[in-house]
This record gives sequence, C-alpha cells and structure tokens, in this order.
Amino acid sequence: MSGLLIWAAHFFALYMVASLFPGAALANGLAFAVTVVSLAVAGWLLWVTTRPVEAEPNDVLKRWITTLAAAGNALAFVAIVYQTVPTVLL
Amino acid sequence: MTSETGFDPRLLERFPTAEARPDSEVDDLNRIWAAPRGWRMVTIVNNNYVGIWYVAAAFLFFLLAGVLALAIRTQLALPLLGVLPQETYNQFFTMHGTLMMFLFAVPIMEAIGVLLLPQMLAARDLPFPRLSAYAFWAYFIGGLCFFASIFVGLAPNGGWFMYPPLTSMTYSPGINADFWLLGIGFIEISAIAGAIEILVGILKTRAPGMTLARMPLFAWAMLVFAGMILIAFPAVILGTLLLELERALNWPFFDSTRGGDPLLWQHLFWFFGHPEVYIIFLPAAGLVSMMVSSLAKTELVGYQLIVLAFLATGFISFGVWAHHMFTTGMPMLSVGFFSAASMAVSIPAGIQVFSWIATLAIGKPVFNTPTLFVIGGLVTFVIGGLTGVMVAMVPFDWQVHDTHFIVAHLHYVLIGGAVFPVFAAFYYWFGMTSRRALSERLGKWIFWLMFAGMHLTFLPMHLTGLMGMPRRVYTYLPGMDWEWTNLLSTAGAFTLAAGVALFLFDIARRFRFTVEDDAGNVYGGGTLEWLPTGLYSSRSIPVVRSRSPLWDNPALSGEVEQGRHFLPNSATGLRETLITSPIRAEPQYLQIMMGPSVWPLLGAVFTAGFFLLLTVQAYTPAIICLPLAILAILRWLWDTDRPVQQAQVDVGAGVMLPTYVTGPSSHGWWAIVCVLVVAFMIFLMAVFGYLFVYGIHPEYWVSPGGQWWALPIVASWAASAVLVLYGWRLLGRDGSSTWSPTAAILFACGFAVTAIAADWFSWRAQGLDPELTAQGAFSHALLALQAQLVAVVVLMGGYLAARTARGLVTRPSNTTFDVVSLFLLYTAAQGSAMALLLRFFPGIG
Repeated sequence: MSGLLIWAAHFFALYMVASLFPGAALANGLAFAVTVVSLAVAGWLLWVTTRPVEAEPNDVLKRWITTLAAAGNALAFVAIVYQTVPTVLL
Repeated sequence: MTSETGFDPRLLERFPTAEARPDSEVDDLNRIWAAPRGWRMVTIVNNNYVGIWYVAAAFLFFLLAGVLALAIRTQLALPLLGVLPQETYNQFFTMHGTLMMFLFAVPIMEAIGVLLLPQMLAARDLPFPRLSAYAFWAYFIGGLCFFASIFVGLAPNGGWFMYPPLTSMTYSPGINADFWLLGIGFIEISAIAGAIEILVGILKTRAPGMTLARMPLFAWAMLVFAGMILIAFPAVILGTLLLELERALNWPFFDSTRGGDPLLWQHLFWFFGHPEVYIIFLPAAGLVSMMVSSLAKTELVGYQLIVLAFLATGFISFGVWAHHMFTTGMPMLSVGFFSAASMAVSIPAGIQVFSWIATLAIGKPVFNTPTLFVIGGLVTFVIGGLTGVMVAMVPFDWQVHDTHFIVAHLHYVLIGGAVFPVFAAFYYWFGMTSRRALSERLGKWIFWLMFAGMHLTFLPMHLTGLMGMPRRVYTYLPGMDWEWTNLLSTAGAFTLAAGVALFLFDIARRFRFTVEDDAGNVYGGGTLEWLPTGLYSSRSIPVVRSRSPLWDNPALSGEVEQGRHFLPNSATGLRETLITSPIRAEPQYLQIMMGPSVWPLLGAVFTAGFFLLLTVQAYTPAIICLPLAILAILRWLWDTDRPVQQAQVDVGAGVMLPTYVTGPSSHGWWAIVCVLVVAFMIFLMAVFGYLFVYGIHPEYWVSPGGQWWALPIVASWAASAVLVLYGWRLLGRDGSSTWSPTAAILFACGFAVTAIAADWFSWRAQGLDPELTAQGAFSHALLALQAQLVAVVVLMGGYLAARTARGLVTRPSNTTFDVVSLFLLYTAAQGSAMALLLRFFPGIG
C-alpha cells in the first residue's frame, strides 16, 4: 500500500495548499513542489518493488505481495501525475 | 520456508491425517454449538442465524424504501398530481434515500459478510459473536423505530444528506431532523461494530494456509470495506453530533452569522458520503468476482489486478468527496484536483470490469439467473460509470448538478453495482442456507422484469435532467416537456417492482432455512463455504493450498467431514476457532468463543432507547436507558476473557497451540486498535472543522488566554500515561507489594479526570460562549468529546477493578488490562493534543 499512501499524502497536501492559498500563484508553485517530491518517492518505491527478490526465491507469497506493491506504486505514479494536471491548466 | 510467526510450515504437511476421527466428536460439536430454541432464539449469537436475520432485515428495508419510491414515481408521473402533499413528498424522498443508503445498502453487505465469511474462511464463527448480535439488534430495532417516524408525520424531510441551514432550527423547527441525526448516528455505530468484527475476522480467523494470495475475493473486498468504514463513518458521526448540538444547544457550527459555515457540513458529510458508495460497491464487486469464475467455469482472470483495484478504490475514493460540491464556489484549483481524482477513481473500477469480461469471454458461462444478474449488473454499472466520468467534468456538472441527471447516474451505479450483484448472490448462495433452491424459470422472469424496469425508469431520467428538471421537487408544471420521460420512468418503476414482487413470491415458496440439509452447491463454486457444514461451520478446519480448494482437491469435502484436518473436535469442550496470522495464516492460538446470551439484545434495546427517546425529547426515560445499556454491555463482557484450564491443546495431528494469548497478536488487541482508529478519526474531523471555520471566518476568532494552563493539563495527561505503562510493568511481575497493576490504572484514571477537569474549567474561565461564536462552540465540542472519552476511561477503570477483585485479571498478561491500558494511552495523547490546539491556535494575542 506504500504507493497508495504516497498518493493519499500528495492529494491531501494539494488540497491543503489550494485551501490555504486560494487563487494565489504560490498555490500552483507549492503544488508543483509537492508533486515533484511525491513522484520522486513513488518512483523510488516503484524501483524498489520491481527489483528481483533475492532472499527466498521460492517464497511465492512474498513475490505476489511485491508484485502487488509494484502495481500499486505504478498506479499511484500515474494518479499523482494526473492529479497535478490542474496546476498546469489553471 | 519463511514463517511469519515462528510456526513451522512443515507441520501443515501432516494434514489431512491418515485416520478419520470418531463420530462422537461430531455429536460433541453439535451439542456445544446447538442454538437455543423457542423464545430463547433471541439470545442466539451464531453467525448462521444472525446472518440470515441481518440479510432479511436489510431486504425488508429495501422493500420499504422501494414502496416509498413507487409513491414518489406515482406523484411525478404527470404534472401537478396531488397523490402526495408537498410535506409528505419531502419526507418520502428523504426516507427513501436514507433507508436505501443507511439501512439497506451498507447493512446488506455487512449481513452477507456475517453470513458467508466464517464459512468462506472455514472459521467456526466471527471472532466476536455477541458483538455481531448486538450490531444486528441495534440496527434492526433502531431502523424500525426510525422508519416508524413516517407514520406519525415526523420523518426527516431535508433530503438524505440533510444540509444545513435547511436542517437547522430556523427552517426545520420540528423533530424530523433530530430523528435523522440521532437515528442515523446510532445506526452508524452499529455499522462500525460490524466492520470491526469483519476486519478482525478476515485477518485473524482464516483457515491455515489461506495466505493473502489465496483469500477469496469477497474477503479481500470486505477487508477494504471494513477499513473504509473505520475511516469514513466517523465523519458523519461527528457531523450528526455537531448538527444536533447546534439544533439542541444553539452552538453555531454551521451558522455563518456567528463564524460557522454550512459548507463544513457538506465537507464532513461527503467525506463520509463518497467513500460510502464505494463501501457499497466493493463487497458487491467481490461477490461478482467470485460468482463470475464459478458461473463461467474457469479461474478468474486477473485476481491480483482485482486485489489492486480494491485497494486503489479504497484509497482514491477518499479523494473525491468535493465533486458533490462543485457548485459551492470552492477555489478553482481545489475543484480541479477533485475533478482529476474523480476521473482517476474510474481506473480501478475499469480494471475489475475488464477482468470480469475476460473471464466470461474465455469461460463457458451458462445463462442462468445469477449469470444474467451479473451481466445485467455489469452493463448497468458501466453505463452509470460513463455518466460518472461525465459529471467529473466540472463544467458539465455545473449544468446537471441537482437535476434528475444525477438521480439517473446514481441509480445506475448503485443498482448496477450493488442491487443486481446482491440478487445474483441471493441466487448463487441460496443453496447454502435453504433446503430448496430458488426457481430458475421464475428467476429469468424476475431478472428481465427488473432489468427492463430499471432501464425504463432511469434511462429517460437522464433526458429529464438534461431538460432541466431539478431533484427533490414534488411536482412540475405542464408544458415543460418533462411529461413523457416522467411517465416512462413511472412505468419502469412499477415494472421493476413487479420483478421484486415475483422474487418475494419465490422466496416465500422456496426458502426453508436450514444449516445442514441445504440445497447445496448448485452453481459449482470452488471455495470453502461449500464444504458440508453444521452450526459449528465445517467439521474440521482444512489446510488451504489454493484459491479454489474444492476444485483443486475434490476429496477435500470428505477429508473435512472425516475430521482429518485442524480442530476435528472441541479441544476444551467449549466453542472455539483457530486464530491465524494475518499474512500467511499460520495457526497462532485457539480462541474460546462466547455462546448465546440475552445481554447483546438488551444492550441494543437500551442503546436504541437512549437515542430514540432523546429524539422525541423524553429526556428522563432516555437518561434511564443509558446506564441500563452500559450495564447490559458490561454484563456481556464479564463472561469474556476467561482463560481455560488447559494452557495448550492438541488442535489436530499433534499440533499444540496455546488457548490464551495477549498482546499485539491477540484478536482483542486488534479490535481495540480499530476502536481507537475510529476515535482518532472523529478527533481528526473535529480538528479539521475547527481549522476550517477559522479559515473561513477568522474575524470571529480571538486569541485564547491562559496558555500556561497547558502545562499542568499536559502534565496530568503525561502522568496518566506513565502510570498506565507502570501498571503494565507491574502486571508482568509475579507479584507486587506496594501497588497492584489495577491500582496504577485507577490512579491513571484519576489523573485523566484531573486533566479534563482542569481543561474544562480553565477554558470556561476564558469566557468564550459556545452560543456566540463557532470558536466557542468548537472548543466546547472538543472538550465534550474528550470528556466522553474520560467517562469511558472511568467506566473501564471500574470494570477492571471489579474483575481484579474477582481474580479475573491474570498475570503476567491479560487482554482486559491491555484493552483498558491502550484506551487510556490514546485518551491521554488526544487530551494533550487538544489542550495544546485550543490554547495555541490561532496564536498568542
């Protein structure tokens, strides 16, 4: 759930920024900064979870969980990018 | 091989054992798990019975809400009809929405969970059977009393989401709104109890070997469902509490003339309200995922993707709530974020839809009744999803908000995404609890009537909305071009009703409740609920080695029946089930379970009495009900947490497990952590509200004085926490000469009372009147919330003292002690945070 937690943190950070600085250019700037950080973390998590699992190569469950985590991180990455589009358009 | 708990996985290879077990063990299981008969049936806690009652009650509310819908559609069939007067119409649409969302949609999913999950996980019952019974009775009694308000013209009439200022005392002076606020607040407490049960049950009572990767998808869906309830429902509980305080005590949380804001209600409500619809959809999606593979006679395509979809939906649905508020004038950037998230949330739903389509495409589905309902639901849900993405576009939403377009959209997603899957599930799982299966021939008639009726009702409604007909209007003028579409919608509603009526007829003809000689696995499912069962669930608890154990091992049913797996008997002579670890389902200990009791029923009656009597302003009887409810609950708890004589028992094939475990591995610890999550979310929402109203109307705020009071208050809370930790340490010793562990807890309670008293009186000395400003109202509300926690802490301290006096608090560790301690620690942390927030925000003047 790590990627989804990053998405959630990103979303609520964007919401707070937009609420605290409505209509200000600062809001867009802060949102962009939050997004860069979130993408960096999500990207790192994606890299970690897509590396081969070295210990216990026969541990099917651990590989399943890692694959699920990787998919979650990938989805979160896409969602974070998409969610930031309003800062570019508005 | 990796172990999660230190359990040797090789022990699982001992099962199935070579020898069958004696039949006398089955007689023992039957005797131990026997259900009371006659009038004593109200004391039953077994999930087979409670689950069926729960499903029946939820379906009853579905029917009642459906009748209200027919009345609404009759009134709107033609312009200026006088079938329902205006006020009655307002009550009807409010009750229709409220009944459907709060008393049918979520409870039916909980009910199906209570009924199916223990069997699906091969547990003997859910981990807290008396809590299930309490949750059911509270829901049933509360729901009936709530519905009865319509017969005396006092039903709520402000729409199912009850926005202030319409629902404040100025515009809703009667007690109609109070029925909603107190009734729904109390029913949601019942839902949270059910969610805790389900979450702990899924994570801790699965059959050995049923790792997360082998868990049935309905269990995955219910896991996310339960987690979402714990996070989302506190928002509506807080909201109802605040609005009731505003109405009863004139505290201006939502009154902008005194620093409050009506939009705060909308934020709180929809933070609950949007996840609510996914709370409704996800279990249905879990049911569909399971049915699709059996009905298509092939493994489900994309199990892992569907798990991802459940988790992603659970998260992203918490980021879209303000799409219900696009027209309220929020900052455009915020609106943009919610619009983007609202589109993103369709991705996981799409993953599931494509998975189901792929499974049906590669399998060999037979178009029987459950398949028809599954496919019909899929088609309907996708149409609803398309209109959902349309309304995620802000400019489009600005046109259709509060029109019948939205009514059409929501019914498409809810009927397609929940009602049709539930009907499919009725057919699919009917054979598990009834001696006779439902009729396939009538089933097809029922499906086509419901499907055609549904589309005839709601497809034209899109047009009605686009042509400008608002929601919640009791009539309309002729010449608006709305006549034909409304008439078609009304015809459709009665067609849909005919299908439901036919279904009721078939139920009456065919449903004969049974536990043992049921109609069986009519549709060929491969999961564990289809094992032969009695009231004790399956005779033995199988070791699971795949996702569809009955398909992969056709001999499994026979092995289980012969007792060749775990727990073929009652090791202690009591009701028991296996507790396993959350990820790998490794056996951890044997849980002793509670049997029939009247106390959950009495607790539910008095809890309902307290809330409902408050609603009708019968304050004295309400105040009498409260201690009676508390006593009933404490009496029920008194029987729990009793270690048995045997410290370890053989649970099969020589595998020895302890009978009593405390600490983070125990199911009691997990349950109290869930309760604390709920408490934290209520606090978090209250803090959000506090900060929100400051942000909107800072001119009504003053910098609080008396900051120095924070020091003694936080010191009191800290002393309370330190004493709890000390008490824990004392409990771990063989004996203590100066203080007993419980004495430490009682002193901790004393410090908690001191802290809240100091907080309250020092804050009152600031002179902030809760009736004058939102700051005053919120600060007093936060203090009241904290005082409530302290009251519970004092009660728990007294309870712990009573148990200690009876020698029931065992060394070196004890679950009751753990639960009380955790609650105290949380109360201290929240109290400290609150004291600092009140005194240091918005800053020293």
